[in-house]
Amino acid sequence: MSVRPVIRFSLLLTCLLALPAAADYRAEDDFYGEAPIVLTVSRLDKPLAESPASVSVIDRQMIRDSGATSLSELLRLAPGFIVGYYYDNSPVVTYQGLGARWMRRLQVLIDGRSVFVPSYGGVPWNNLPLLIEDIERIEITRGPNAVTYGANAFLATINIITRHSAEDLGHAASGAGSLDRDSGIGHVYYRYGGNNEDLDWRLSLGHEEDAGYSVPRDGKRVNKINLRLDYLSAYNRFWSLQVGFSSSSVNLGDGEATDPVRVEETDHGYFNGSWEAIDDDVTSRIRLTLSRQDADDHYVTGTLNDFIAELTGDPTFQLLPPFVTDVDLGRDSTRSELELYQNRQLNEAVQINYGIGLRNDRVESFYLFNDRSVHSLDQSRLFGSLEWRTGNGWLLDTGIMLEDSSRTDTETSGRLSLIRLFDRHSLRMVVSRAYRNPILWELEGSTTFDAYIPPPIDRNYYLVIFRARPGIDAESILSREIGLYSRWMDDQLTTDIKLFNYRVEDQITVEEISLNPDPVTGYPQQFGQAVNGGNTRVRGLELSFNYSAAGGRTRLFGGYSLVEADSFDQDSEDSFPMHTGFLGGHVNVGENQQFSGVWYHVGRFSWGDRHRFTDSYDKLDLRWAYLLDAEHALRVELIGKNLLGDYGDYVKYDHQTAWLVRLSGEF
Amino acid sequence: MKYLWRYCRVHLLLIVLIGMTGAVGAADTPQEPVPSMRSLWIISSSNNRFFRRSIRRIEERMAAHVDRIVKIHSDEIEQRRDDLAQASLIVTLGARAMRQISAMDLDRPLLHAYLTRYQYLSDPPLPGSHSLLLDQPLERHLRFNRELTGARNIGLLNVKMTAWDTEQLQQLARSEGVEVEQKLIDPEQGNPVAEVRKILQNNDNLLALPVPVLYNRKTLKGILLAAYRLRKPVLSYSPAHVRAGALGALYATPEQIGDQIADVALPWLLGQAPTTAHELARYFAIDINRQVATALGIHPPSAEQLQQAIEDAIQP
Repeated sequence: MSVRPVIRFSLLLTCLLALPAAADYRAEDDFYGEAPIVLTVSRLDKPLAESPASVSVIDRQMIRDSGATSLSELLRLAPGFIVGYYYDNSPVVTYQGLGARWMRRLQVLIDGRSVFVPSYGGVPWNNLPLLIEDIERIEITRGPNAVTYGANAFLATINIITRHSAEDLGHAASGAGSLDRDSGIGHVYYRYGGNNEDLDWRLSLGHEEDAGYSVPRDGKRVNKINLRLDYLSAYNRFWSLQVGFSSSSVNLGDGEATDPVRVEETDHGYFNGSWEAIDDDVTSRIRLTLSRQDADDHYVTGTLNDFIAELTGDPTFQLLPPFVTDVDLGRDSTRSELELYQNRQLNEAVQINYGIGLRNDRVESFYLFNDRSVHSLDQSRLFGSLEWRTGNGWLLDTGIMLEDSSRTDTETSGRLSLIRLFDRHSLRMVVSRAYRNPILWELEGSTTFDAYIPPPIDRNYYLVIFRARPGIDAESILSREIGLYSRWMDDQLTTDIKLFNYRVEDQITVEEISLNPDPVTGYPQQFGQAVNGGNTRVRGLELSFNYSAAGGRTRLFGGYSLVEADSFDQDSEDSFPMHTGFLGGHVNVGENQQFSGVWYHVGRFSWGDRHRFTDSYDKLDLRWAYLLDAEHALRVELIGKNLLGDYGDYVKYDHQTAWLVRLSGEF
Repeated sequence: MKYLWRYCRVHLLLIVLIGMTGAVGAADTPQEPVPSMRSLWIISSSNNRFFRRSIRRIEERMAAHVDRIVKIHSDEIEQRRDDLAQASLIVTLGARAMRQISAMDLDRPLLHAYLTRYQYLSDPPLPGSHSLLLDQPLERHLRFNRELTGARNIGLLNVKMTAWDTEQLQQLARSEGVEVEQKLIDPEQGNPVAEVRKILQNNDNLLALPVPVLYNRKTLKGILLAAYRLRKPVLSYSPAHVRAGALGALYATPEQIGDQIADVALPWLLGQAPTTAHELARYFAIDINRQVATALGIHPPSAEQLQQAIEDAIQP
């Protein structure tokens, strides 16, 4: 790894630390300015009007209104987001397009911890050790933002923020179950929160299960446990420690010889420790995180005679005695990360952010690398940004990030954002560049299956699925957007519109390589290889609104995305639905009843690795809630899912209408 | 589909037009020519958006009554010394502008705004000037507390310099039907978070008043967390604190500050100088954090209802 950027940046950091901070008390800022985040229930890190990118917020009320019972479902509540299911227990999420079963172009953070799994890449939505009930809000940056969030903040960044443990005192519990036996949906949640002087804690436990599609049976059972401790020392030093664990077992397999019906067991654990110091004009933060996922999927295939005969075009295999093989799809992966960050207010007009991040990814998987060794990737990043209020209503926000990896060149990401602030509107112009470094599998992968063929052939047959190509480089994105955020009707209504275009360059794609037939056997040889394929251009517009009236008793929210793509690769081009949208809200009736629901629309498109169009579909979820006891927030809810009937998904049609009952309360 | 980008460009133009409309609206100031030679100078410590909102209101109210309204940054005053010496009235916004203009020792009427009582006492302006303080009258805060939470026991942290006279404080409290415990602390010695915890052991609410050595960027998060942990609300002077996690705030908006400046400046220009050295905020607005209220089990009335109830109870 090159250390020169680190040294250069460290010198810069030293200079910055030596800068004087603005120490003068300004009453106007104390009254009308921004205070540090305190309770997650209260506010955003940055006012939306001043955000240097398009940001959607899915708050606790929207989460409740949606009736969603899984984390991935919630992401439909942001413009342009598409959620699909490879299997029912294997959700896939993308922003606008370029979606694939292993989605590597999104950055997902939970309280600042990256939950990207370095083995396949992507996010294990199914078994994240996170309970929806603990989420305060989800902030989604729609567009590249590597300067703030680092690698994988490529198409979008999903920042999930859980509640401070001081906000969850006492006992809370909820239980939900489907009314029909086929859906087999069940959720149980329990939480206890307490405190002692300056220490707060929350323990939350959950169990989720879902029978999945009717054929194949792709159900899931997940157990989760989380512990969060928050401690205050010296009145302005804040410590936070989170540990969690989930254990899931999911049904896999379509029953074919190569994919028998089986159960995959996955354990997922994490540690997230942070320290924050708030001083007069400086906020410093150190965060150390560790995530580990161990998936066990080891099985013996059915008889492979027919399969290999078809693959090779040689019917001799069908005449041999039955033969099988052993397949190990298990993978153990660990991501550890250290980040040091500082925010400094230089004067009333200028503030800067800067920091260093170090990351190590380790993967052990015979399936991915065809060996039992640990494959490792080190990355370091140095970042800094400057926010300058010019004084005449303009806000300049610019930043840069240097990212160095042990396998690729140093990449420089940047963002320039110019915002014109009016009383009720803010007009932003943003140019941003980001990179996505290839994951270990794309760099070093070697996925091969082998099977011993009995006499008279009496030797191993090798089926190569994937083989890494040396020299693969990072893919990049250059994005431009112009947006207008507005507040109307005494702030009851907010709207956001953005026009955008971006170009993904050197897009990493898996190319099918055909070699000459094996000289010994004469069998055809074909395998996949990650390559920098070409460019994809995307342009369009997005709209969103949020209306809240009568002190929150009535609320409407919605979003719409219109996208056009032009790509070197037909699959990539087809992966962008032209229209997506949603419309939701709630209305309170009397003091005890609430009706809510969300309608979603996704246009015709194709998942990038599916090579087949998914029809346009509409989905409607409705919810009725009745408050039985206000003191204990004892509430019964009836939730109807997929009320417009079945719709096509990643692989097949099988989303049946389901009715759930949920009972929740606090004690 | 191929017309999409053309469609987008139309919208782009629309956005820019909307933006420009806002910009024009923001810069537009009514200017009614009046045969008068009065000049009003507004000197800002900075060009922030709060000051701009106040200035816009001053211009709306006063443009018809003065010949000139001149707006400058406090860093420019040395170059404009001769002009300032002719000003009919000088209004300063913020402590920095107040200090800089005071240092020039001009023999002109001075009206200072955007100062807290703490700043006023620790760094007094020149004699003869008049200061409009950001602080609200204490009885208004107490009434706000009563209408919002109904709590009877209120904790108040203070420092020696801004401490309320005990007798006066108790009299005010009695008239509002509450008990107020004022605790004086030395910010150099004490831990404000620990003090908040102590005072909230015996009281229902914490009333935060603008004392920057107690409530500042360093201490706010710990104080709000300490109060939240005890499930006791914080009522504050700052809407920024409400966004951060306080239950509610009573404060004057920048427009209301502009109104108060105009209220004082107009008669002054006609020869009726204020008779006191300073005054508290005449107008007020209310912010409530409804999520925090829900979490604390409080069901507050609307901000409008609260405002009306306080106005009815306390005449300025």
